[in-house]
Amino acid sequence: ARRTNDLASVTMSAAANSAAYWRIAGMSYLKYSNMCAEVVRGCLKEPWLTKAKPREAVYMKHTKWADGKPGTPVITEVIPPETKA
Amino acid sequence: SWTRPPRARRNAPRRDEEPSWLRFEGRRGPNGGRAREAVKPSTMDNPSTPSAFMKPLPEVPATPPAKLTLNFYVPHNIEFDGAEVDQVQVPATSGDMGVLPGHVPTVVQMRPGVVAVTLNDKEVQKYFVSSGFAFVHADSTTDICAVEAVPVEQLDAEAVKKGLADYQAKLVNAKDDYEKASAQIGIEVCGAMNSALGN
Repeated sequence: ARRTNDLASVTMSAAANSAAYWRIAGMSYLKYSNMCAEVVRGCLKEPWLTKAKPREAVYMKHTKWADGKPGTPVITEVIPPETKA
Repeated sequence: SWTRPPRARRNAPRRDEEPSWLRFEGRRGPNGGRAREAVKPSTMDNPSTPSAFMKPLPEVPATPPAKLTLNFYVPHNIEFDGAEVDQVQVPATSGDMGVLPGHVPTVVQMRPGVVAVTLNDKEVQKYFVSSGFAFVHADSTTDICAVEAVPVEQLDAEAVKKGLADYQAKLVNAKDDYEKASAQIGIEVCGAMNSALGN
């Protein structure tokens, strides 16, 4: 079997040797950082909690182009989870 | 008897035809032993390097300045912009770090924790930072960048305790590495918030 040299597998094997637990589990720093921020936002007091809600929402639309023509757009939408009443 | 002069190389130009700036290295070395001839000047500029386009780095003052210049940004807000402060305490992954004017230039990754800004000698403002980076430059400008930085007063102690218990339960029930790591992140951040609130 041919050993793969792609970035993901190289990073994973390097991470398994000496890295933070989130890197070993497959998260990038951006993912880790954004998850930390989500936890903090969920623990805010009331007026700031509602102000923080729009920051949780993520809306992205990806379209892959090939041969000068767009493919099917992929929409990523993360709606913040319902907070405690 | 008379001997013929050595025959010139078959393809060599005659001396008077050769351009003055084109020289062949003869057996006697560069210039063939001839006196140095002028090089035809080039009409092209030397290539620029990236450093030619960089702004010069700020000068390092001989004595450390009296106050630290603090820039503290989150994506949705500017907490401090060029503010003159006395000291900043930063929660780095390698331990808590205090930055005073004249600190050695550093780049640190921050862990979830409290950034304490000492404005004058008395006033201290504490912000809980979710994670990010802090940069100290040679001219004592400190840049702190975080995704979320909230004043400690805005944290809800009940929600933090509840969150800690929830994430601990999620850790026990985690099915794979990713869920385990997510739960560990929750525990790490909630634990840090707990200690920031004094519990």
